Parts: sequence; C-alpha cells; structure tokens
Amino acid sequence: MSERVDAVVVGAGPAGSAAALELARAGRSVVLLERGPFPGAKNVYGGVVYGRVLDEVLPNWWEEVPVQRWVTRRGTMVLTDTQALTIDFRTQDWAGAPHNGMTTYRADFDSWLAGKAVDAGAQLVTSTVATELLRDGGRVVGVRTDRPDGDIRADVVIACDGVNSFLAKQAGLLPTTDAAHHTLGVKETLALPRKSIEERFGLRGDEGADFEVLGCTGGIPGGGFVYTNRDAISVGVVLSLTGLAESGRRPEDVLADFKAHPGIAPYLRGAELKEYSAHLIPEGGYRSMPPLSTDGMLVAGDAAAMCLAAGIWLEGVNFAIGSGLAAGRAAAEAIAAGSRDLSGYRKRLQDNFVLTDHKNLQRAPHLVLSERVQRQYPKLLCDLAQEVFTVRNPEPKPGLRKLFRRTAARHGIRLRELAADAWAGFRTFG
Amino acid sequence: MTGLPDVLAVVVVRDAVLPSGADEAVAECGGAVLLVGTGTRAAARELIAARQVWTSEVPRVAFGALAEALAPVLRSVPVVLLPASPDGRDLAARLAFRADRQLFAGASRCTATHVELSRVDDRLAVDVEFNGPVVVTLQPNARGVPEPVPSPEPVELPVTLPEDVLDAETAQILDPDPETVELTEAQRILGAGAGLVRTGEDGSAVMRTLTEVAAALGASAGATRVITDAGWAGHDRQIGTTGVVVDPALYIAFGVSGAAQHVGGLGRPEHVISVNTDPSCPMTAMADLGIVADAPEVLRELARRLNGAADE
Amino acid sequence: MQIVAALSWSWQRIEVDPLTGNLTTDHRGTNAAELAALEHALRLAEELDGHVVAVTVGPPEADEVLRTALAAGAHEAIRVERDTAPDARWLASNGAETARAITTALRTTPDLVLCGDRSSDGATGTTPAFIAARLGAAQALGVVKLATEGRTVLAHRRLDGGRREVLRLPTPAVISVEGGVRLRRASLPAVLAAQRAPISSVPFDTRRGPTVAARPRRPRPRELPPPTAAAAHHRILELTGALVERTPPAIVGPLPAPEAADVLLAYLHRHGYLETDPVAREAVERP
Ligand SMILES: Cc1cc2nc3c(=O)[nH]c(=O)nc-3n(C[C@H](O)[C@H](O)[C@H](O)COP(=O)(O)OP(=O)(O)OC[C@H]3O[C@@H](n4cnc5c(N)ncnc54)[C@H](O)[C@@H]3O)c2cc1C
Ligand SMILES: Cc1cc2nc3c(=O)[nH]c(=O)nc-3n(C[C@H](O)[C@H](O)[C@H](O)COP(=O)(O)OP(=O)(O)OC[C@H]3O[C@@H](n4cnc5c(N)ncnc54)[C@H](O)[C@@H]3O)c2cc1C
Ligand SMILES: Nc1ncnc2c1ncn2[C@@H]1O[C@H](COP(=O)(O)O)[C@@H](O)[C@H]1O
Repeated sequence: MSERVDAVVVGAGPAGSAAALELARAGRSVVLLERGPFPGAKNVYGGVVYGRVLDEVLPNWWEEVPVQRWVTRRGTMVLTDTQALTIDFRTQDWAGAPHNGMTTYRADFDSWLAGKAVDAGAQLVTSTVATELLRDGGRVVGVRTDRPDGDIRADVVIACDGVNSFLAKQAGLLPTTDAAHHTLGVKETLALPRKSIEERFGLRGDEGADFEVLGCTGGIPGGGFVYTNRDAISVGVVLSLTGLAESGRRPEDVLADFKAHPGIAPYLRGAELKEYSAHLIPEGGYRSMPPLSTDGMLVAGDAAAMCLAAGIWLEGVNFAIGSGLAAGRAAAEAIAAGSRDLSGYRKRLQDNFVLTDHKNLQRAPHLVLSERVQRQYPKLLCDLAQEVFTVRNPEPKPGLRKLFRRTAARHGIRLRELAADAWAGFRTFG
Repeated sequence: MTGLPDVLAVVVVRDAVLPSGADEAVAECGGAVLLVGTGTRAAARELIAARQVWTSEVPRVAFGALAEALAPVLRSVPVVLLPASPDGRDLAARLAFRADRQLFAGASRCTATHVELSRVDDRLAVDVEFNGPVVVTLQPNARGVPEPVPSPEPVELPVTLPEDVLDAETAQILDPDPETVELTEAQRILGAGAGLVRTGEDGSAVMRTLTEVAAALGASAGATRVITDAGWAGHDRQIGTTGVVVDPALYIAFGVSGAAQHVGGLGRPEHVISVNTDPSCPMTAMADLGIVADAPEVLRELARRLNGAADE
Repeated sequence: MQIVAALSWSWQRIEVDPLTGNLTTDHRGTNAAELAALEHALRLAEELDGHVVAVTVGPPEADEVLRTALAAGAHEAIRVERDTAPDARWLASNGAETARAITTALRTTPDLVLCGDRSSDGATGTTPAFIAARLGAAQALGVVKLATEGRTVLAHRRLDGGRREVLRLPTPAVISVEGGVRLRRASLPAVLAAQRAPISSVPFDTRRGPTVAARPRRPRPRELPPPTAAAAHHRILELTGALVERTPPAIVGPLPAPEAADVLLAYLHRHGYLETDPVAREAVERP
C-alpha cells in the first residue's frame, strides 16, 4: 500500500517549511519529510536571518519568532595579519519592529517555521530520508523513503533538501559534482556569559551585532563572520573549495587562525566551545542555478542554489523562504487547476526579490572572491588607514591624495584597476 | 513493645547475603538495623556498623507481602532508611505506599528531620526538611563506613507474610553470568562511553572493534550504561553501581564522562587512562593519563596498529 | 490481554551550574529504557494477543511520544494532563504522584504495565513500584531480559554482585526494564495515521511536594575505618596513601589520533602492559 497526497515536500529547512505552509494554506494535503529527528536538528548556518520575508508568513511574526538578538550593529572588517579596519554601523531603527536582521538558532527557527506549516495542516514526518524519486515515464510522481512501506505518491514533489540536492541530481537538474560553485562554511558556537557579550560588543538587552570580515582566510578566497547570540558567539569562515584544496590546509586551522587574530581574539576570550560544524554553501548564484522545475517536481532553496552568497555575504534563509513560498503557491495553483504546468514558479520568483536580486547581483561572487578583493585591497586599505593615522612629527603630514597614490603603488595596484573594480562594485551592489 | 528507635535501617537479605550499601545504611542510622529476608541471623554477623540488630526471618523475598507485613511493625519508627540496592529500592516504594509515608529516594545523607537527595547524576544536592514519618533510600558509596564494631546478638522480631498479596514468584537465582565473571576478574579493562560512538553510527560495530583491541592488549571490554541502554553491548558489560563491579589494574576509558554511578563500579585501578575531548570531565580528572583526543579516531588507530585491522 | 506502556516526557540533559546550582535544560523526551519498554510491550502483545495502551503524564507536547507509540503499533494513547518544571522541587519528588496519575487514568486494571527503569529527570525508578502498589500488582523492576513460557512472562532482574533473579509473573504485574532493546521503525503509513489518531486527555490535580532547597552537590566526606598499622607514622602513611606508588597525573593534548595512540601505547609499555615498544615497532614496520 502506498500513501497518496497532493504534494510531498522533501526537507524541513526554511524552504521546505515555507512551501508546505503555502500548500497547506491552500487546502492541499501535503507531507513534509525531514531526515533529522526534528527540523533544524543538524542544520548549519552562520546565524543571521533577515526576517522581512516572514511578513508573508505571519503578521507581527517578530512577536513570536525564536530570536536570540536583533541586529542593531553591523560591521564590515578588513584584516591583514597585524591590522584591522572596520566600518562600523549601528542604528536603533533596527531595534524595533519590523527589525532588519536577527540572530537565531536553526534548531529553534526551523522548528518554529515547520510548526507553522503543521498548524496550517501539513503533515511533518521526521527521522525519514527521501531515498529516491518515483517516476512514471519521465514524470516525477512521488518519492521513496527509508521507512517500511515508504513510498508516497503526489501530484507535485518539491525538493528542498538543501545544497547539493540529491533529488535535483536524481532528476538530472544538477550536475553530480561541482566544486567550483560551492564554498565550505565552518563554524563554531562559543558560549560566553550574556554580560560579557554585551560589554564586549557594546550591546544592551536583546540588541545584537554582526561582523563580516575580509582578508581573514589565510589567502584562501573567502571570508569570515562573527555573530552574537544571547549567551554565545558564532564565529566562522567561508572558504572557496578549490582554494582550500590548493592551499592544502584544514578548514579548522584556518578558523583557528581567524579566532586568534588580534582584532578578533579579544571578543572571544574565555569563551567555551559548544559546537563545531561544517556545511557546503552554493556560491554560484544566478549563473549556476539549475532549471527550477521538471515534470512533476520543483526545486527551491539551497537545492536550487538560491542562496545569495559572495564570500562574506550570506543571505540564504530569506531566499530559501522566498523561493519555498513561491514553489508552494505555484504547486497549489497547478494542483487546483489539475494542470501539470509548473511554470508559475519561475514567474513568481522573477516577480519578487528572489530572482531579481540574484540577477542584479550575479557578478558579486566573482568580484568578492577575486584576487584583488581578497588579497590586495585589504592590505591597501589597512596600510592607507595606518598612514593616515600615523603621526610622524617632525615630518609634516603628507596629503591624502599623495598617501593614496603611494600606498597603491606599493601594493602594485594600478588606479585604473581600482576604478574598474569600483565601477564593477557599483554595478553589482549599486 | 519492640523498642525500635526513631531512625532505623531496614536491610533486605537473601540467603544470608547482605546487599551493597548495607553497612552504610546502618551507620547512617546510628547502628540500628532490622534485617528482613532469608538467612538474616547469619547476615547479622557480617555487619560491621551495627550496634542494635533486629531480624525478621521470612520464607521468601516478595515486596508486596513484605510491605504489608512490615508496615505495622514500623509504625512507631519515624525514619525508615533502606540502602538503594535493587532490593532496597524496590521494597522502599511499596513500604511507603502501604504505610502512607513520603518516600525520599536516592539520599546521600539522612537525619531524623532532614534528607539530602542526590540528583542529576550526582551533580545536584536537594535538601528537604520533613516532619511526618518517611521512608528514605540511601545511595551506596556516599558516606563510607566507620570503624568496625563487634556485631551484637540479634533480637528476633517475628513477622508473618500475608498469603493474599500478589507477588512475583522467584523461579531461580542465577549466579553471575560467565561473561560477567570474565569482566569482574579482568585485570585490564577498556571501557566504552557515549563519546566513543558518533551520532547516527552503529555502536555495535564500535563495540566489536573495542573488543578486538582489548583482546590484543589482553583486556576485556566494558561499557557505560549509555552504551548498554542503546543495545550496543549486553547488560553484562555495564560497569557501575547498577551493573558489574570490577577491579582491574588498568582501566582505559574511551569517551566516558566518569559519572559517579559508573566510577562506583570501577574498583581501584592502579592505572587509569581517559581518552576524552573534554579535558575537565571527571573521568579525565581522576585519570593518571588524560588524553584529549577524539576517541573514535584513537580507537580506529589502535585497531590498525594492534590488529592490523583494515580501516573500514 | 491489556498491556500498558508508561512513557515519560522528562527533561533530558539537565545542566547544573557548578557555582550556583542553577538548572538549565531545553528539551523533554523519552529515554532509551522507556522506548525499550514500549518495544517489549509490542512484542508481548504480538505473542500473547494483547492490546497496547501508551500512557504519558505530561503537557500537550508529550503527545509526540504517544504518536511515536501509535506509529510503532500501540492501539490506544492516553495523556494525563500535568506539567513539570525542571526545578529542584520536581527533581526531589518521586514517582508516587505520577503513579497516581497513571492508575487513575486507566479505566480497568491492566494485565501488564511496562515502564522504563527510570525517567531522565526524576530518575528514581520509583514510579513503577508505586503503580504496582496502587494496582495491587506483582512487580519486577530493573529487568534486563524478558521471556515467555506459554502465557507466563519470565523476567530476569538484576540483583547485587552480578546475580540475577528470574521471576515468574502473575497478572497483573508491573515490569520496569533497562534499555537494550530498540524500538522498531514505524512504517510510513503508520506514521501518517498516528498523526491523525485521537489521543484522549485526562485531567489531573497534582498535590504539591515539600519545600526544598538545592545547591551543587559536593561529595560528602567519606567515613573510613581507622588505619590498622601499629606506629602512628605508618598509620598516617596508610591514611594518606603516600606509600602507594602512583604515576603523577598528566593531561596531554588536544592530539590527533595517531599521536594520541602513540602516547597511550607508550604509557602501556612504560608500565609493563605491553612487551614490545609500540613506537619502535611502528618505526621498524614502516620502512
Ligand atoms: C556556514 C554557513 C553560514 C551561513 N550563514 C547564513 C546566514 O548568516 N544567514 C543566512 O540567511 N543564510 C546563511 N547561510 C545559508 C543558509 O544556511 C541556507 O541558504 C539555507 O539554510 C537554505 O535553506 P534550505 O531550506 O534550502 O536548505 P537547508 O536549510 O539545508 O535544509 C534542508 C533540509 O532538508 C533535509 N534533507 C536533506 N536531504 C534530505 C532527504 N533526502 N530526505 C529528507 N530530508 C532531507 C535536511 O535535513 C534539512 O533539514 C549559511 C550557510 C552556511 C553553510
Ligand atoms: C540509578 C542510576 C544508576 C546508574 N547506574 C549506572 C551504571 O551502573 N553504570 C553506568 O555506566 N552508568 C550508570 N548510570 C548512568 C550514569 O549516571 C551516566 O549517565 C553514565 O555513566 C554516563 O555514561 P557516558 O560517560 O558514556 O556518557 P556521557 O555522560 O554522555 O559522557 C560522554 C563523554 O564522552 C565525551 N566525548 C564526546 N565526544 C567525544 C569524542 N569524539 N571523543 C572523546 N570523547 C568524547 C564527552 O566529553 C563526555 O565526557 C546510572 C544512573 C542512574 C540514575
Ligand atoms: N510522566 C510520566 N508519564 C508516564 N510514565 C512515566 C512518567 N514518569 C515516569 N514514568 C514511568 O516510570 C518509569 C520510572 O520513572 P521514575 O520513577 O521517574 O524514574 C519511567 O521510565 C516511565 O516508564
């Protein structure tokens, strides 16, 4: 005997729960399969969720979302071996609803979001792995799971099984290996008393800080981050897979060096390691996205490389939710219409932020991971700052323009390249 | 009148054998004890902390009937204390219910008005003042035993087991399993703890590897309760206060935190090695050699070296 | 035959602050011993043609364990309404109240009640004995092996010193088991059906336990028999263990596995547990 429902969603991460929620809200029978013992059990990410996408899930979501801290301070740091330059921004505007970013634990957040889907009527089945797609000719008609009598048939299957999606590969939508378009994130959660965190990061109450860092990965293209939770700090690095392989280093060593940097170490002093974890990140962006659907199946979230990632830049959860909601709605519509046409999914993504942002930022990964941004600019900026701040009496102060030329020349950077990158940056992020 | 004191130890005896923790319970009650069960008079001679002994010889150890029979006898005794041995624990609740008393289980200290309960794997002490009559069970190994005193002549306190109380029937008493004997007599033991098995991994395979490595070192393999509960090793392999009590010369702990219930069954090994990722866990703290390392990896490495076992 | 499986919804992994004794924990659930009890209940039901009722005393979230039980094959589920905070007062309580909650929720006296030998928070293992007392049932607690002989259940119970007692059980009987048996994996249709199955909820009035105070536990000074040596000097040596030769404790690492193995084997060699010097042998073997 095999079960039959309108839709099966594989993976109760942010994408899957969002998709299941929309299907359930549309009155469809939907089963949400999750391999872990509960949603978020083993899910790894840095730590910040940009929550506005939740407006579509629940009004006033901020009143009940399991938040650690609301980010009111964001810094971008540039490091060299001995220097650190930080652009430090804070605003109280983000302290109040609807907020901007929040730090939250995935075990809490994913469970919460999956709970919303269950409340709406979705059936969540945990400790269950989807092992195979069921097909009828070319059409995907369900999935096989690792439980006894584990086949389940559905009009639509939505694959939200995360980066390197097994299902998308099985459907032939993703190549089987693709190191170039992935980075590796490694992360530690370090326990630190709440009071120390607030003192060190200059925070009050449930305010939080997040820092993204360039130039901290020992020459391997990538970046680092430091995020504050209520009584723990998340610190990690994101590394290009090919760069890591070439360097011959172990990711935990790169992270250890980052933690020991004089600009970072004082924040972490005395903190106790609670957890170490590692996970792949789809880094290719728009250019490496797979086809988003095939007959009977949609792909959302990291499975479809929806994560907006460029070294230090990591927005995955909001894109996963955005694409999951779109997939759920498109599937519900098709099922209601008795149609096999799932193209509404792509259209919805193009109309909202998901594909629009990806299209606009398609050059970002390449730029941020480029040799100049990774190695030369951090040094240039730090040296420049040092020149500006060093007092050399009795020598007079050199003019800023002169300092700049001199520093750039010392680093072998031609102003033409700088201008080109600035323009590229402007077009990418502007 | 029985002349029983205000604080009395009640110790269940089987075939003249005292349970673990008997003398400690007696000492905690100032030396006053009632022995119930089979072979009580002979057991009385084995006590070292007793100053006043009563015996109630009964034909069988059956907790429903014993509770029924003892409740009226103990009516005048405000504090009844039993060792938290298997029989003590199991009689205590029946007795408390039958006599309508509060039960305080797992105490590490007990006076006429106060108990200190040990909770959360011995990491928390909970103090309770009481005023009504109570039944208490005392954790073995918590207080130690004092200087032996000559055992006094026991006074018989006859009780009759009622026939109309339902109890399980003892079909047989089995002597320790040969497996257990092998472990109790082993001079070298390798112990497996939760840290030796990675999440999601099959612990039975890990235990097989441990047993092979142990064999290569002329040692036996034991485990903590986390391992036996998960079904990765037989119950005979569980070292500890509720498992097998061992006394090796060498103990090598792999991923064992060193909970009191485990260490309580370890005897006094001359050499202790602890392989654990946590340098401050009790097992490592009490070890002669604490190695901060990943236990599963270390075991695999040892297997490779000692048995030439192929890497899976 | 009516078989009850009692499954707790207890606080797992409670942390104790070593300075203040404050307790922290974040999740509740059911432990290995209780899942083993459920599996035994299901097996006995198959063998003896029984009907399994899963019971928990807990808050609404505890329905989760009941649905696990239903998915695995339990026929019926009852939850007795009660919530417990992970605080000292709750930890100091024992199974008397829980047993009262369970027995009052059962409409008839079951033939067998299967429990874990202890929960994860209270962990005194007294609930099953109180259930037996209330039902007037026989008891077999701390059981490591269950077998049937015809329609009779035989239980092997641990005694001290590695001995075991084999008990022949009448009905009604309460059995508490240690872990060791894994709960079967439920089929997908059963998991889905269990999510829709009704769970009856029974109200319960808890009586308040005694007032308590808690602190981190320090082992109490152990009383020791006085030393036996004749001379005072020797008695002191005996007491302090100063004459027993011990290696000074050392903590090394963190070490990668090969180095850790080196250190371990070298130690064994140094103390005479290994004949050959393992490090030297390795060096020879590796050309
Ligand atoms: C180190 C690191 C830092 C990051 N930092 C951030 C950040 O700060 N902010 C941010 O917004 N994003 C961040 N991201 C990205 C973000 O984590 C992802 O983009 C996001 O989790 C994608 O959500 P998802 O639902 O698509 O996939 P996932 O969250 O990966 O969820 C997939 C789910 O599917 C389940 N699953 C997989 N296979 C199967 C199967 N066969 N059967 C059943 N279930 C299955 C998994 O258990 C999992 O629950 C970070 C990522 C990493 C690695
Ligand atoms: C009434 C009662 C009776 C009990 N009787 C017994 C008994 O007889 N015997 C018994 O053993 N227990 C008994 N227990 C249970 C006991 O209290 C502990 O829960 C148990 O001993 C803990 O086992 P553990 O050390 O394997 O697991 P944990 O306490 O979970 O410790 C695991 C250890 O592994 C370490 N670790 C984790 N990962 C790694 C890694 N990769 N490499 C190296 N180290 C790692 C951790 O740092 C930790 O120290 C009893 C409990 C009660 C309440
Ligand atoms: N809240 C509860 N609900 C159902 N059963 C319980 C509950 N608490 C304890 N039990 C049962 O009693 C056993 C022993 O628990 P305890 O007496 O708390 O150590 C457990 O393993 C369960 O089988």
